[in-house]
Amino acid sequence: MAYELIETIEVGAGGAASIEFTSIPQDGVDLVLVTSLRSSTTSNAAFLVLNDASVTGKYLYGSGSVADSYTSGWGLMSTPSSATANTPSSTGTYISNYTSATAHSVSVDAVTENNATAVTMTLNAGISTSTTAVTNLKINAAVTFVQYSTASLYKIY
Amino acid sequence: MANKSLQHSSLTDNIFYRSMLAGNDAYFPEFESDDFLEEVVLSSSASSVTFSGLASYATAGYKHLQIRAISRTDRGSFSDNVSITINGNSGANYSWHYLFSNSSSPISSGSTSQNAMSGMFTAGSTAAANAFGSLVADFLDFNNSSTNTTMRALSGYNDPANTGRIALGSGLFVNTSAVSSIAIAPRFGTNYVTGSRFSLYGSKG
Repeated sequence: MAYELIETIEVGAGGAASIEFTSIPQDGVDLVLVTSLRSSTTSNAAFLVLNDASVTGKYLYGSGSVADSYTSGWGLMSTPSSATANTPSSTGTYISNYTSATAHSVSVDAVTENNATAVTMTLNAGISTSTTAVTNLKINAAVTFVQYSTASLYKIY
Repeated sequence: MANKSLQHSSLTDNIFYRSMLAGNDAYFPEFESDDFLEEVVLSSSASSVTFSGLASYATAGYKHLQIRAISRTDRGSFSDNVSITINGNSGANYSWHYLFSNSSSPISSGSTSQNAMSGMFTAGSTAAANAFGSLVADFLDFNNSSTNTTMRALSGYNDPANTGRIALGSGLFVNTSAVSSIAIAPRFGTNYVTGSRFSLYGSKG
């Protein structure tokens, strides 16, 4: 199994409403996405989109004080602006068999941090409605991701 | 980088090969991005393990670091926690949280203004014999000197007699310095026991 960088995108000054990987090479088996994100607002949302199709699913959730599970609000996580300054999230995303013409299964483990009780921690299982090979991957912010937010996309073959 | 070795030859297979490959797979240089960097395997007990000089990995193009460990401590319990400090800093500059279960309903909790990151679990001395806990901890964008360091970890162990533990953990180092060293230690025990293994991997970015 080899693990090869496709691209890293870092958000510059002024922020960005989304981070997008286009023309993803089709010579891999699985994709791994790692993201370090911070939001310009109090939203912790970061939505994963494969080929213009949203990914939805279920997740186990921890808030720093409460644990629960949910079926709505699935996504990657971005540290909200209300958390400790300059603190990004940390998320690992695995997309299986991305060149196949089937719905793509996605697993995510994600955390936001904060020098306070309130955080967001999730273990996610999702699926994309797209049934074509993944050539485009986009991460949408609730409003914008701030400077120094980064996303690295790797292929495994 | 993957290891490649010759599996076939005319001498060992007793076959006359017309190809110079002699039945071996062709070797194509791989441009791998997830590389093994270094490892510590304890041949005697140790109170901590430190990976230092990490700036050199940033210079070599690595953007993200990952520690993969199996460990067991001398704490007189079936369970211990893992502590991580950054850049030799042991001030009250850390917070940590976890989403955790030991076969009952999951729990989420944490602590702030701590002297180390934690929220990760490993086996103690009364866990099943030779049972080691496992840990995978990620440090993204570790050389960025404009952001604090956020860690994400999956950890746990199985101890049938006392229920195992599994956790998604997070840690924060409230300091924007680039990460130059990472130290790992038992939170409650004194030492990691012989055979504990700590491996450092890097991902290009």
